[in-house]
Amino acid sequence: MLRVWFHKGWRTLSQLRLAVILLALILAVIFVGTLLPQFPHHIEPAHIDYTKTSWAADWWSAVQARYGVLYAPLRALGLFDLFGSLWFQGLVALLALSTTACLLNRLGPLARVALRPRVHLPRERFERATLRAGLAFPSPQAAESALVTSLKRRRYTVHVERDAQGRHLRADRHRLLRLGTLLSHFSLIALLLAAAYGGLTGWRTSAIEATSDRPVPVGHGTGVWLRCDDLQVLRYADGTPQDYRAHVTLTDDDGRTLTEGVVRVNGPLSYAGVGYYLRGYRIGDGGCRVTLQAVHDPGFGPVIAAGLGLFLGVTLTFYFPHRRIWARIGPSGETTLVGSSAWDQERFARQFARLAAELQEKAV
Amino acid sequence: MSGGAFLLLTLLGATVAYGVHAASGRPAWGRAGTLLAALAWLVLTTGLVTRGLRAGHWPLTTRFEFALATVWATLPLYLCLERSAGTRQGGASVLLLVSLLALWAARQPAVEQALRPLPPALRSGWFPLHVGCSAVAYGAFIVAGGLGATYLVSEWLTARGLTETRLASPDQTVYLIWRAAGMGFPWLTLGMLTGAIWAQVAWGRYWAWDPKESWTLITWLTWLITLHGWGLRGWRGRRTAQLAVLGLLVTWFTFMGVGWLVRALRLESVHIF
Repeated sequence: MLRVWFHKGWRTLSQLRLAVILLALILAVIFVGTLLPQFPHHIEPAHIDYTKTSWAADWWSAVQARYGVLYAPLRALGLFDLFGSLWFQGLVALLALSTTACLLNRLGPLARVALRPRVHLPRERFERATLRAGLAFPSPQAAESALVTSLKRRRYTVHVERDAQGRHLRADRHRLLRLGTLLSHFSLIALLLAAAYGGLTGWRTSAIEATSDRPVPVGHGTGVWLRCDDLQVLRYADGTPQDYRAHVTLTDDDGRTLTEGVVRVNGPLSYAGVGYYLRGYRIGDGGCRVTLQAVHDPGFGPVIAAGLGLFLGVTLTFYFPHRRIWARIGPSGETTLVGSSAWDQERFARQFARLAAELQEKAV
Repeated sequence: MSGGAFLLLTLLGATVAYGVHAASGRPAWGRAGTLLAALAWLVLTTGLVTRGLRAGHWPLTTRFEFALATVWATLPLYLCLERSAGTRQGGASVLLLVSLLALWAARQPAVEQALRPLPPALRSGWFPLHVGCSAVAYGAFIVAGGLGATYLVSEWLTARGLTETRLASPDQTVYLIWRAAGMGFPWLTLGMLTGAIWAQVAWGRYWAWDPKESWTLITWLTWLITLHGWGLRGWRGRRTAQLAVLGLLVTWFTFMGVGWLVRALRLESVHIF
C-alpha cells in the first residue's frame, strides 16, 4: 500500500504540469510580496537607523498605523514578511522536490540518448518519422560515402554499423549538449540548497559605527575589532561624489593588528571569511566616522556556482539543440533517411530538406 | 536632422514597410523593412559608441540609455530570426514595439538624457555586464511578445473574416515565439547572476527581495512557464502567444513600472531613487 502511494506521489511530483503550477503559484506570491511593505531585514534601506534598538518596533508601528484594521489579519498571514514565511519557503521546497523528481526520472533516458547513441533504429521508427527522405544510390558504398561526406561537412558525428540487412548510419550534432537540460535542473536545486545553507549558517551585523577614537567590536564570536583610520571622499569636477574610501584596521581582542585596508562601495575588505562593507559615512567632527556592516555568507560562492550551472544549462538547451539523423542503406544502395531535433524541428526540417536535396543530386 | 530623429524616422519607416508587407504580401516591402531596420541598427550603434566614448563608460547607466540599448539588442535578434526563419510576418509588430520604446526614450527629460558621471555604486565592472545582459534579454522578449501579438491579431482578423487567410503561419509563429523566448532566457539568467554578484560586492547581499529584484524574478518565472508550456499538451498555439504577450507586459513593467509601484505603495527599494 505504502509503495503504491509512494509511486503515485512520485509520479505526481515529477509531472511537468505540477512544476508549471508551482512556478505560477510562486510567481503569484512574489507578486503579492511586491504590493505590501516587507519587513526590512533583507533590503535594509538607508533611512532606517539599525543602531536604534527600537527600529523593528518602530517599523511595525508605522505599518500598523498605515493598514489599520487590515494590519492584524495581514500580519497573521505573514504577508508583511512574505519571503521569510514558512509557507513561502515550503512552496519553494516543493518546487525543489518536484524538480528533483523530474530530474531523476529523466536522468536515465537522457543519459542514454547522450552517452550511448543507438545506431540501429527499428524499422517502425523509420516509418513513423516526420522527416523522411528516400534516396537511390548506385551501391551501398556510394550511399555511405555520400552520407558521411555530407554529414561531416555539416559537423555531425557519424557512426556506421554493418549487418546482414545492410548498413546503418547515425549522425549527431550537439549530442552531449543534450545534457544541458539536466545541468540546468540540477543547478536550480543546488542554487536553492546553497541559498538555504547560506541563510542558516551565515550572519550579518547591523550597522557598525567605526571611528578613529577607539575600536568597536564586530561580535558574532569573531574576536575582531574595527577602527576607521581615514576617510576620503573623491569628487568629479562638477562636485558629485566619485568614490568613498575608508581606510580601516581590524584588530584582535588584545589590540594586535589583524589586517588593514581600504573599504569602498564596490570594494569590501575581506578577512577570515567575513566581508566588511561600507554603508555610510559622516564628516564634520574632525575624525573619521563610517558605518560598516560585517557579512559572513558561506552560501554566496555555491549560489553563484549553481547560478553559472543554470546559465550554462539553459544556454546549451536553447542555443545548441541536439539533432539526430539515421539512415538505413539496403544491399542495392536504396537509402531511407530520417531525422529529429530536440525541440528545433522547424529549423531542422529546412536543414534536413537541404541535406536530402544535396544527397539526391549525388545519388543521381 | 539630429541622429535621434533620423533613428526614429528609420524605425517608423521600417514598421510601415513591414506592415504593408504583412497586409499585401508583397516581398519588396518586406525587403525595405529589413533594410530600414538594419540601417536603424547601424545609426544606433554609431550613436551608442559615440555616447560611450564621450561619457568614458558604457552607455547603460540611465533608463534612457537602457531603452536605447534594448532597441539596439532587439533589432539584430529580430533580423537574425527573420533570416533564419525566412519570413517577415512578425516584423510589423516587433518594429512597432521597438519604435515605441525609442520614442519613449526620446521623450525623456533632458536631465535623464544628459551624460552623467558614474556614482560610486555604479563604478563596478559587474554593473555594465548586468545591464547589458538584461538589455539583450529584454530585446529577445520584445521579439517574442511582438510575434505573440502578431499571432493573436491575425487570429482575431481571420475570425472576423477581415482577411481571407491568416497574416502569419500559426505553427511557424508559435515556434518563433518559443525560439525568441529561448534566446532571451539565458541572457536574463546571466543578467540576474551578474546583478547578484554586483549586489554582493557592493552591499554584501546578493538577493534582498527588493521590488525591482522581485519583478525581475517574476519576469524570469513568466518566461520559464512559457518555455515549459512547450512540453504541455494544448499549450503550443494560442496559449503560447498569450503567454508571450503577458511576458512582454511583465518585462515592460519590470523596466518602467516598478518605480511607479514603489512610489505609489511607499515600498522600500534601493533600486529606485
